This record gives sequence, structure tokens and C-alpha cells, in this order.
Amino acid sequence: MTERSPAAPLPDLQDQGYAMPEQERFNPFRWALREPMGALGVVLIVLVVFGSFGAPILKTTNPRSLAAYSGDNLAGPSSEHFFGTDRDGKDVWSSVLYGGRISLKIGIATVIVGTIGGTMLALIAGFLGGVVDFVFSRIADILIAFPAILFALTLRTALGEDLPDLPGLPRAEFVVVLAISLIFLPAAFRIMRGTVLEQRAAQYVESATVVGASQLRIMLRHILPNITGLMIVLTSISLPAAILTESTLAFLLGAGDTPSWGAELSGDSRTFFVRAPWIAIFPGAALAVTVFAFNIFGDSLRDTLDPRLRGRI
Amino acid sequence: MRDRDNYWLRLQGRKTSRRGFLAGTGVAAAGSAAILAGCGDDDDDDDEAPAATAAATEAATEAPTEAPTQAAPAGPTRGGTYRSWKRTEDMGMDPAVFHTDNQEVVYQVYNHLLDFQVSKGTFSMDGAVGYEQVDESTLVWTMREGMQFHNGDPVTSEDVAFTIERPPGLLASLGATHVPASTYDYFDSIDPVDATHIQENWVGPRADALIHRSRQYFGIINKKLVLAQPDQTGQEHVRGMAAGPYILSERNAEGTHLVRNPDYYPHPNPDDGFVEDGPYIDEYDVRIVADNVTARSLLESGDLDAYGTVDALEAEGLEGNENVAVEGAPAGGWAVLGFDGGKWRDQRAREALRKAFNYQAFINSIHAGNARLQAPLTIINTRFQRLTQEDLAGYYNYDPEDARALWEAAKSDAASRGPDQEKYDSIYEYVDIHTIQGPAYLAISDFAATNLTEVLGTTFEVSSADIQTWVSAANDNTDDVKPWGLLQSGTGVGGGTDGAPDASYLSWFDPAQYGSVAFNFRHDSPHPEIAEGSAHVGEQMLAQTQELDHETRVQIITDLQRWILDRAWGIFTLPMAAESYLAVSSRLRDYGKDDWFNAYSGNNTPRREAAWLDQA
Repeated sequence: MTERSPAAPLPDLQDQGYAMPEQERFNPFRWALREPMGALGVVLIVLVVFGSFGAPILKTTNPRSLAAYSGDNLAGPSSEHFFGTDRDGKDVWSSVLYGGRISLKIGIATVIVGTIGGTMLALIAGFLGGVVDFVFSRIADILIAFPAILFALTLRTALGEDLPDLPGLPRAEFVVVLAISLIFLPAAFRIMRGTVLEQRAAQYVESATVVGASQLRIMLRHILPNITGLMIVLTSISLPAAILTESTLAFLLGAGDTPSWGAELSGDSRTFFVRAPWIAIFPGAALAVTVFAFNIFGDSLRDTLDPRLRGRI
Repeated sequence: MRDRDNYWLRLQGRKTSRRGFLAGTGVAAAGSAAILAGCGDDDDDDDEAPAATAAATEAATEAPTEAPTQAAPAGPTRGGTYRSWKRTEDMGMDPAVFHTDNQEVVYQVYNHLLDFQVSKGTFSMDGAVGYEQVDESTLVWTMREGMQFHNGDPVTSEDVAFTIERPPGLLASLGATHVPASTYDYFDSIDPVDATHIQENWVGPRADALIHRSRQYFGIINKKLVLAQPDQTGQEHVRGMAAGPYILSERNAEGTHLVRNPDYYPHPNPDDGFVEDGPYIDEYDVRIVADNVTARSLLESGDLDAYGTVDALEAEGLEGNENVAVEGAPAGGWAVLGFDGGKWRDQRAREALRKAFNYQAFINSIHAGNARLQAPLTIINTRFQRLTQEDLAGYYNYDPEDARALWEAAKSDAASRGPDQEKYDSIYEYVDIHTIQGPAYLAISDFAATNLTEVLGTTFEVSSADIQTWVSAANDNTDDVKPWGLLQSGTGVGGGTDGAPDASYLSWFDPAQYGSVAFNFRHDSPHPEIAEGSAHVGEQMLAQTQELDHETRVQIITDLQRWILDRAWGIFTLPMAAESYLAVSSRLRDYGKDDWFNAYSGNNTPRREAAWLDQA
């Protein structure tokens, strides 16, 4: 067996007098002018994130505190309660802002687990192929075959009692993250696997293989950077879907004592909608604005990162 | 023979109904020996009341009969289909096994010996025309003649005796039933004396036996047909098992449908709740509607005849709808956080919880500022309740600092007990408040979780389930600790009492009833203090129900309540609404709103044959 010599470092082309095209520096203002809807999305996302995580400094009362029970039930919007109060006398403004935390947190956690997890599995399956690819793909097929919401409901109910509390992610939230992630993971796997298969056949992979790069190195250092753009676009598109799914689960099952937009839209909102429409309107509007913001931002991001679409809009 | 009349007849005094009076005095006059020989007055002469004295006549005249808001018109307009709802499918139709989401059948398809009008304190005769309390431990029933089951089989005294004596056998064969043992554990024997008389022989006196017989468990059932079933129960209903005013014509995943029994027996000179030519309503259609909001929408659109209880805020929202009638009803209801006696063994922990609870904030937010403190025996059972709101305020006082100190002290002792006791001491780390799915239940549990977490510094979280899963969790005795930490039940709005103190929430504490089954406060508790306390509660519960002198009985009950409150024992009762409202269709008449909450209203169907629908 001949011993393979270590790959020689690639020569620096610039040192040899080749002129490299100057990389365009990202100018946010120019991007905003080119993608005004994307910029609007960013502004709204910043507002939502600031409102949710900066809630304590925005004239709110933590809905999970005893002080939240004001005793002023079903009061309309006023300077005291910007969005009115709910059936239990809780300030709707506070519930909306604090409810955004859970929606964003679960949305982001879900997308990280679902999209990044799906991408990693796709990388392994797509690159290694064979039995690994077959097994992973069939599992993904099975998971995708389940109706998404029903699957998430079942998982949330079945796993609810058995999961541990994680740092920053209590059991009640962890189970939702897991349930929604398992919806997104196979979808992300399917999309990313196709791209990995495409990249695996590319010449740069062949070159890396020829020079003796290990499989792990090829996957992580060569293929992964080339599919990162798609992964980011997938993430931005999945996030609003994840937030909506979380809200759907909270609407259907309730969110316990955790404020959540979906839960706010359930229960008393429906009972008192005619008498106190603010209970439903404001959480619903917050949810709609957030999903809209992430959607238009995701669209713009896709246009920006996908060279085939660049400049079309 | 010490007393020929019954405990409840004496307690009712001038409220004795004419039928009850005739039963109690007329039959007694015939002499117990003759009765025992089966030759006594069968008291089924319903045409006149020759024995009635002037006083009795006065009593009958004054016996408050709920006046219909509008007189029932003659003719077919009395009929029509009553539309109701329930949340889930039944768990079987046998009245002596379960009473979860099958009450419309238990009350409308089955008949009972008698009914008890709690608000008036009067008994209404139904399958029986009379009874005699021969002595403290002997009761003789006189059956109504001419009753027949829905398949044409005659209702015999053997069927009635079988109905009464069934629960212990069911308990043995099924392992569990919803029938509290206290309603039958005093039986010695039950024998049909002749074709129309049944004699109950008890091991001792039992003050509330008549009320027990009016309960849903004792729906008269066809012995022959039940024993022919593979499981020897009426869980799978077969036509002919019951003899009540309606026949079960449909039962599926969408609900149940009942049609009028064409061969139903008449009630000449009927007592309150019954009518001579009733029932007035032709059919009952009970649909399964999973959530309240949908059911409420059906009521508002005129597609439902009873929604049930609403609180003051909801009542305001329904006012002005021409399809809906919102009526104030006697305030009742319970809302509790039941302790798991396996975990809440330390009295300091239970007291800590009681002191940690912010009652005023709870009343303001959950009951819109209008509520009263509840007691171990419901405060609406005024015949037996002597504790005042001032008395109760001495126990239910918010003191977060004291609460935290008590909690920490209990927690510190728990920490020193070692890992083998871990499952009994888990409450100091985490408490699961288990409740039923529904906005009102969740609002209460969420408040409790927020309040207790904040004050005690331990995480209290809410979990919820549909009612059948919740019932299973409540009765889960696979281990000596429950799968939950606190069991939340009731909303504090609606709900009532069947009049007997042992079933007016004291049953929650009784180790012979829910105290043991649901809350682990039992004689065989692994914790000596819980076992000893349970024995005491059991003894006192028995003593009060065997005591036939009312004042003595009230004293026993009052002492028992104080004992419970001193130790924060069993369950933690939350304040209840000071006002209750019923939301029904505007066409429903004479449905007995004063007793709607009492002794169940049968999945929003009135246990009242006088109810009718104004279809004008």
C-alpha cells in the first residue's frame, strides 16, 4: 500500500500576480434601498425583539407575577392599560410583550434544532450515501407522512411529563421546541440533502478528495460553506412557520401559565371577543406583524443570497 | 321503635310535602308488624288524602312548588326536542358504575324511588309511593304499581332490591365505581317483602339514607337483563334495562338521543318536579361539543336549550340576546386544590400553602370581586353549616412571610429525611397542579401556580387534561403518591349540594370516600400522622351520619370542620362566587333553577318532568 503524501498547500494566486475581484462590502443602507420590504422586515423584527425582551422597561407587569392580577377585569384600552385588560384583570399590553418572548424563543430554538439539525443530517446522508442515506431518508419520509399539527400535538402530550428542564428552556417550552423541531427537521433534511447531493458531484469536492482531504473535512470545510446560504434562507423562511405552529399549539392546548400569543387568542378571547375585542386583537396583531416581518425579511434575504435571483426585484 | 318518622322529615318540619307526609304518617299508622308481614297499607291510593290533618293540609298548601314563569299550555306545544350538550363521550351507562357524561341517561332514562328537592328540603315520590322508617335501622319502601321497563318487563320488588344492593358487588367485581361507600356501607340486607314492598335492614341508623336513594346510583335497573350481560352491568345499555320517562334511542360519538317512553307510568297527584301527564318534553338531543365557546355560540344562535353556568362577566355578555335567558340561581360551587396526602404529609406545608394564597387578589381577578370563603362543608348547605365568614377568615388569611417560614421549615426537615423518602418530599422542588381543560379551570390553576411560586419560592406548574383523563389521574392509586402534586377541581361558580352533609364536599375529606380514593388521606397511609388523622375523620364522618338528633349532628360536623381547618387537612378550599348564573334558552320553562346545581343537573338536562319548552 502506497502512502498518500499530504496535500500541498494551494499557492496564493495574488502572490503570483493574479488580480482578485474586490469583494463588495455590505452596505446596509444600499441594501435597504434595494430591498425596502426586507428593511421594513428588519425594523419590525427589531421592534418585536426589543418589545419582547425589553418588556420590563416598557411599562409592563410580568404576567407571571401576582401583581399582574389587577382586579380591573375586561377594562378597555387606556393610558393605564394600553391594550386593555383580560378576563382575569391582566394587562394585555404586558401579556403581548411577554408573550412575544416565548414565541420568539421557541421559534428560534425550533429553527436552530430543526434546520441546523436537518442540515447536518442531510450533510451526512447526502455525502456518505448508501445505507446511511437510505435509512435517514426513509425516517424523514415517515416523519413527513404524519399530519404536522397532529404530530406536534401528540408529541407534546406524550413527552410533556418526561422531559427535563434545560437551562433557559423549562420543560414546558422544551417539549414544544422538540415537537415543532421534529416537524421541521425532516423537511429541512429533504431540502438540504438534494443540495448536498448536488455539491458532492461538484469539481471542488472531487479536487479535495484527490488531494486527500478527509470525509469530515470535505463535509465541514468544503460542502457546508457552499450550502450555508440556502440554510440561512431556509431558516428565515422556517422561523415564521415555527412561530405560527407554536401559536397553534398554544391555541389548541393552552400554554399553561406561560404567556403566549397563541394562548392569548384561545379561551377567554373567544368567550369575550364581542364584549372585549382587545383581548384577541392585540395578540393576534402582534403575531401577524411578527410573521409578516420574518416573511418579508426572509424573502429579501433569499433574493440577496441567491445569485440567480439577485437584482430581479 | 324510637321514631317512626324519618330524620329528614323531622328536619324539614313544615316543609314536608303532602306525598312525604302521607308516606311517613299514613303508612306508619298501619303498624310496623303489618308492614313487615307485607300486609300494610301500600299507600298507593293517590286520589285523596283522607288521613291528612289540617296541619298537613296546610303544609301541603304551603309546600313551595316552583311556579312556572308561564303556565304550561295544553296540547302539543308542550313537546318538542330539548337540545343539550356535554364535553365528552360517556364511560358507560350503568348508573351504579360511572356518572361521567352519562347523567342525561342516568336521570332521564332511569327512574329512581324518589327525588329530593334540595332547595325546599322536600322529597318527591317517583318509583316509590311511600316509605316507612320502621325503626332506626329498618326502612320499608312501597313501590308504585304499574311500572314497566322499556322492553315491557314489569318492574318488580326484586328489581328494586337488586338496584339498592348492587354497589358492593360492583365494587368487588370492577375494582372501583363512582358510588361512594358511605351510601351503602350500612346495609345489612335488602329483601323484597312482597310484590310492592322492599325492606332495607341496616347495621345501624343512617340519617341520610333517603337522600342516598335519590342519588343517581340508584336508578332502578332490570335485574334479569343486567345479569344476562357478559359483565353483569348496564355499561352497554340495552333497551329494557331502565323504566324511566325516556328511552335511549341513539348513542354514538356524536352524543345521545332520548325519546319519550310511550308506556311511562303516570304520577297522580304529583309531587314537585313531576306532573300527572308528564314528562312534557318529547325528546332530548345531547350533542358532544368539545369546547365551551362553541356550546355558547350554539346557545346564542338559538340551537341549544341549556349552556349551564356562567359567571357574572359572562352573564353580562349574554344579556340582550333574544335566544338566551340568564337567570340568577342560588350561589354554590366549589373550587379546590386537593392535596396528595402521600406528599403533603407535613401540616406546615399545607398551612404554608393556605397562608401563601392571596385571597383578595383571587376574588378580584377570578370572581370579579364578588366571592365568599368556602368551608369544608359547603357554606350553601345552611341546614348544617354553622361556621360564619368571620370564622373562616380566621383560617384563610394571606400571610406570605409566615407562609414562607413554614414552607422552609418543612422543606428543611424533608431535606434531612434521606433519598428513600424522596418521592414523598418532591413538593419542595416542584408541584404539578393538575386540572381540567377549560378556561375557567386554567384561570384558577394559573393564578394558584403564579401565586404559590412567587410566595413559596418553589415551582408550581399547571398541567391539564380532558375530564376523563383527569378522573383517572385523580383515582390513580398505583403508588402511594399521586402523579400530581395538587388536584384542582371545580370553578367556584355553579355546583351545589344534594343536601346530605357527607356529599356536600365533606366527602372530599372522608377516607371512606374521595379522601382516600382521590387524595391519599387514608387509613393505610405510609405516614402515621395521615393514617391517624384519616381514622379520626372517618370516625367523625360516621358519627355524624349515624346521629339522628339534628343539633348534635351539626355540632359533630362543626367540630369536624374545625379539626380539618386547624390542620389544613385534605383539600384546600378556594373562595366561591357569591353569585351564580344559569344561561338557558329563552324558551325553557319550569326547569327548576333553584335546584339546577343541586345533585347534578344531568349534562344540562333538567331532572324535572315538569320542564317544558315554550314553542310559541
